[in-house]
Amino acid sequence: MKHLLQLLVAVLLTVGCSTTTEPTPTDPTDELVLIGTDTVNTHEVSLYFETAPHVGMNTVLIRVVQLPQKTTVETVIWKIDPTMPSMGHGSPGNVHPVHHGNGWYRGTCNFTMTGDWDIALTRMDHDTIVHTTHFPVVVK
Amino acid sequence: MIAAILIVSLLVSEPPTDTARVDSVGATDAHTVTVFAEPCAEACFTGVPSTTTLTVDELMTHGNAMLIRRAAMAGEAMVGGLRGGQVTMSIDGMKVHSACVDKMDPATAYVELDNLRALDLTTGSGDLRYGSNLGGSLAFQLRQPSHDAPLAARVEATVDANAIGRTFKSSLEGSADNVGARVAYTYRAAEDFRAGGQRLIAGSNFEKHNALAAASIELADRQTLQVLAIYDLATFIGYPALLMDTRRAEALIGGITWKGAWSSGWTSSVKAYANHVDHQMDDLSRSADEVAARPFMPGMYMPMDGTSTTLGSLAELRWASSTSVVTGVLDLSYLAANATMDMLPMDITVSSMQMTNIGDARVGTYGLNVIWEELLSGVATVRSSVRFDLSPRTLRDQASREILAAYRPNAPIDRTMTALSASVGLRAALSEMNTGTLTLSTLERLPTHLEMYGFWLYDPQANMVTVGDPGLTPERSWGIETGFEHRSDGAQLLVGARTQWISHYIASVQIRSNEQIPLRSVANVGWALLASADLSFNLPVSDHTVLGAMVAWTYGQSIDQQDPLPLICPLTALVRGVWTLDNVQIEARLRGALAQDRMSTVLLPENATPAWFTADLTAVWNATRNIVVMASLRNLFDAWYHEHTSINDLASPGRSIQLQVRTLW
Repeated sequence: MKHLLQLLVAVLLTVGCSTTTEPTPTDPTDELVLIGTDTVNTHEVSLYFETAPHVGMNTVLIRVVQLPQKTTVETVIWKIDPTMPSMGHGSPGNVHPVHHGNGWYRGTCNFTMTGDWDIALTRMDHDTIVHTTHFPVVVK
Repeated sequence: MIAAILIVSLLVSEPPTDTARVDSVGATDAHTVTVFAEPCAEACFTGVPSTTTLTVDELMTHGNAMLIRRAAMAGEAMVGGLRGGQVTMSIDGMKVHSACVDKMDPATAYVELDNLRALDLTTGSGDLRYGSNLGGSLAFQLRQPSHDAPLAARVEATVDANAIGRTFKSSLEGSADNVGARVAYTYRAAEDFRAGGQRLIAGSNFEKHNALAAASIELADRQTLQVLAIYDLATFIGYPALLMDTRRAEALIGGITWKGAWSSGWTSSVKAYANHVDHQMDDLSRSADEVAARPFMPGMYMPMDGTSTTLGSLAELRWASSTSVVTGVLDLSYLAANATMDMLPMDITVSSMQMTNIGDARVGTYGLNVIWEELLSGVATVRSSVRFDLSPRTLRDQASREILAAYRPNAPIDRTMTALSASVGLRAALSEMNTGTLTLSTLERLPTHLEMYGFWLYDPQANMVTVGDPGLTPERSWGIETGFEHRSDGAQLLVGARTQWISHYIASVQIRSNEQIPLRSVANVGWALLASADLSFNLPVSDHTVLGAMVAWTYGQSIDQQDPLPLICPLTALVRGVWTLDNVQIEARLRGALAQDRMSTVLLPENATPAWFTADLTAVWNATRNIVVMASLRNLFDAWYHEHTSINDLASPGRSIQLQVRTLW
C-alpha cells in the first residue's frame, strides 16, 4: 500500500510538472540558446534565442514563471530594445514579444552587426515601465 | 556644307578606320617630331590630351567637368551639377563600378593619360550609348595599337617639387603582319603635398601602378579584333579629407572587341568585357590620438573591404546613307558587389564588430539605345535618341536583406526596374559660320546599387551614415538644351545652356539624430531644378598665339526641400594662352571660381567657399626629334584655396615646379 501511494505521488508530480512548468508539446529549451535568467520579485524571466545570436533577424523566446510554484504567467506586456553600447545605436524592426502559449512569449530581435549588444527587456503595465532587465549578448 | 560635315564625321568615326586614323597620330612615324604632335596649339578643350596636360584629373577639368576631390588624385567627375549615378562613366564603352562604398576608387583612377586617345565629355542628353544618365557622360576612349606601326618605344619621367611626386611612364608599340600590339606601364607616387602658403596636407601621399596590354588583329578586310587588359594596383592612397586611406586597390579590366565594316554603309562592333575591383581601406595609418578623438565613431579602427565584379557586352550596329544614319547599341551588364567593415575598438574589453555594407548586391542592366540622325535639308539635321533599360536587381545576403527590410518594411528588395529616355534635337546652320542647336529630352536614371542596397555608408561631408532604400523610384528629368557655335578662320566659339526639372530627385535625408551616430536614408526628395551654361572659345590672335577660355555656371535647387542642391560649383573659368614658335611652346593658364555661398543645409550640409584663382605657366621644348622637355610652374602665386566640390574643404596643391622629360625611339 505504501509503495502504491509513493508511485501515485510520483506519477501525479510528474504529470503536474509537465503540465505546469514545461512547454508543450515537448521541452524546447534543449534546442534553444539561453541568454540569461533574471528573477524580479516572484517572477523568473528567462531569455532564449531560437538559434545562436547572429546578424539579421533573430527569434527570441521569453519564459516567465511565478515562483515558487513555477506556474506560468501569460499576461505580461514586453518591450524589447537591443542596443550596442560601444556604438551608441540600436536597431529597427524589432518585434516586441507577445504570449505564444503556456508562459512562452515570442518576438524578434534585429542585430545589424556583430559585437557586444545589450538587450533591454522591459515589463510594461500599460504605458508604465514595471521593470527592465538587461541581457548582454555577443553576436558573432 | 553641314551635310558634308555630318557625313564626313560619321565616316571618320566608323570603328575600323577611326582607330587607325587616330592611332597614327602617335605611332605612324616614330622618327619625326610629329609623334608628339598632340593638339598643343588648341586652347579649347578637344578631349584629346595635350602636351601640357599631366593627369586625367587635369584633363577633365579642362573640359567642363568639375571634380569632387577627396585626395591628391582620383577625383570624381561632375558634369553640369550631375554626379554619381546621374553621370555615365565608361572606359572604351566598358562600365567599371567602384568597389569602395566611399567612392575612393572612381573609374577614372584606372585610366592613365598616355593610354588615352580622347575623352568624350558630354554635357546634356547627347550620349546614352553606355548607360542611362541625367545628362552627363564621360567616355574614355583608349589608344588602340595600329596594324602598320613601326616599332616604337616611349619613356617619360616627371618630377613634382611640391610633393616630391614621381611619375614614370613607358610604352612599347609595334606591329607585324596584321597584328599590332601595345604595352604600357605607369608608376605614380608622391609624398604629402603642400597647399598654398606651404601648408602641409598630412596623409595625402600615394603610390600606384598601372599596366596596359592591347592588341589589334586584322582578321580580314575591314574586320578587326581588339583585345585589351588593364591591371591597376594602388599600394597606398592617402585620403586626408576622409577617415580612412586606401591600403590596397586592385583592378583588373579586360575586354575583347570585334569590329567590322560592311558594304553599303553598314558597320558593326561587338565587345565582351569583364572587370573586377578589390578595394581595401583602413585607418591604421592614422595616429591613435586622431582615432580616439575623432567626432565620428571614435576609439576604433575600421578596415573595410569592397569588391565589384562586372560582366558586360556592348554591341553596336550602324547604317549610314547619304542623308541618314541609324545606330543601335545593345548595352548589357551585370554587377555583383560586396562590402564589409570591421570595427576594432581600442578598448580591448569591447568585442570587435563587423557589418556588411553591401550584402552581395546583384544588378543587371540591359539597355537598348537607338539613335537616328536625319539630314532634313542642306542646313538642318534632326537627331533622335531613345534608350530603354531593363534592370533586375536583388540583394543576396540573407542577413543584409533582413536588416534592410527592417529599415524599409514596405520596400521590395527584389525588383525589376525599367527606364526610358528619349531626346530629339535640331541642328541648323544659321549662316556659313554659325550653327544653332535645340534639344528637348526626357531622361530616366536608375538608382545605383549603393543608393538602393547600401547600409551604413559614411558620408564625410555630412559626417553621417546613410542607409539605402530598395524602394527608390528612378529619377526623371525633363530638359531643354540650346547651343550656338561659330567657326571662322581657326576661331571657334561654343555656347551652351541647359535647364532640366528632375522628379524623384535622389538624395539623403535625416531620419534619426538622437543616437550617437546620426542616421540618414537615401530617398526620393521630390522635384529639383538644375540649370547650367557654358561658353568656350578658341581664338588665334597671331600665327603663333592662340587664346582660349571656358566659363561654366551651374545652378541647382531642390524645390520640395527648399534647399540648394549640394556640391554645385559657382561660376568657374579657365583661360589659356598658347604661344608656339618653332620647337618651343609656352602656355599660360588662369583658372578660378567665384565664391559659392548658396549652400545646401538639408540634403548635404556644406560650407561656403571663397573665391579663388590660380595661375600656371608651362613651357615645352622639342629638344631633338626624340626628346621633349617640359617645365611647368603650377599655382604660381601659391594661393591657398579649395574648390567648392572638395570634400571637407580639402585644400588644393600650392606652388609647384614640375619637370618632365619624354623620349621616343
